[in-house]
Amino acid sequence: MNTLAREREHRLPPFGAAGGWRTVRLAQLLPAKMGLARMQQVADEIAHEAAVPALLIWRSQRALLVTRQDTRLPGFHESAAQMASVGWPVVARRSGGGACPVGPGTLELATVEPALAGATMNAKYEALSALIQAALHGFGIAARSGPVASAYCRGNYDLAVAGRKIAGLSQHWFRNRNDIRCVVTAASVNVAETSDALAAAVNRFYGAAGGRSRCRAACLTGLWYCCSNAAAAADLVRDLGGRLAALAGGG
Amino acid sequence: MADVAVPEGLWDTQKVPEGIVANWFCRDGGTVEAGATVAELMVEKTTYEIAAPAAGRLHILVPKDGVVRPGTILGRIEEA
Repeated sequence: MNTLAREREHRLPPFGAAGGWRTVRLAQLLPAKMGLARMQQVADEIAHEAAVPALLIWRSQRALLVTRQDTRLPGFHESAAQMASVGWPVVARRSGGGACPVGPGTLELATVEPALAGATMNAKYEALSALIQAALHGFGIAARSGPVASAYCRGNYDLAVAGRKIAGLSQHWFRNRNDIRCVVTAASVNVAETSDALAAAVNRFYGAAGGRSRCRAACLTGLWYCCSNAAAAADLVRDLGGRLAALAGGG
Repeated sequence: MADVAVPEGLWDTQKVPEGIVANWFCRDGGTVEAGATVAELMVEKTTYEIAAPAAGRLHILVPKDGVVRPGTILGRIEEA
């Protein structure tokens, strides 16, 4: 990145700066479609480039979040119907990657901000990745950033513990309804869903839809499984959300 | 003529060498409005919507699934 771009990039406050970020924390377990709609609503509230960026923290009912490319697979509609019948409704999202299973044992978050001139994809990923790593560090967990082979929705900004994926990030750049360029960087952190259930859902979806992507449960993990003195799983999801909000808001 | 371009420096090509045009939302030779979303890029796990810099007739230079990098000219708009 050149110097000018770097200066522009830094016009957005870092996480933890007093008053720098607005945290929107939704307490209820939402249908995935509603959570994604809330994310879009937060983006649509951005009315100018100097708007305060937001960190959205929410929890989803069980669902498989797929990309728009996934919806064009030859057997998508049949597969989506099958998945819904076994408790995994399929919901299309706007960011890239592959199918991502979410549920009461995962925590969803997203940074929602105006995309200033000179902003880069990598910087947005790195900022959210660092925030999640800092929050996990508070539980004594060291997560590393980098692609995890054979995980679902693989990407360069996967977070892994001992080589097993614990969180994934994806991104979407667009103009909102106020014609402001926005970027949403979303993440899903697995706290307490079982690797077997997550992998089975993704593999079943792609198998029926005609997609080639497959994943292995052995490449996945969750915070609850990494903590030696873990609280109840539901408490851990809430605690992680609280820690992320505190880190982002400087509280 | 106005270039429809991938912004310079949008991503680190050492980390992700290239992206693709995931979709064109207008046909080659069609007319577009200034600011309308005309294409979508896919760069690893990022989707990036490209807006028309001007109104006019769109000439597509990189087709759907074509490879792009920061600075790539995706198309040109012949201003009305």
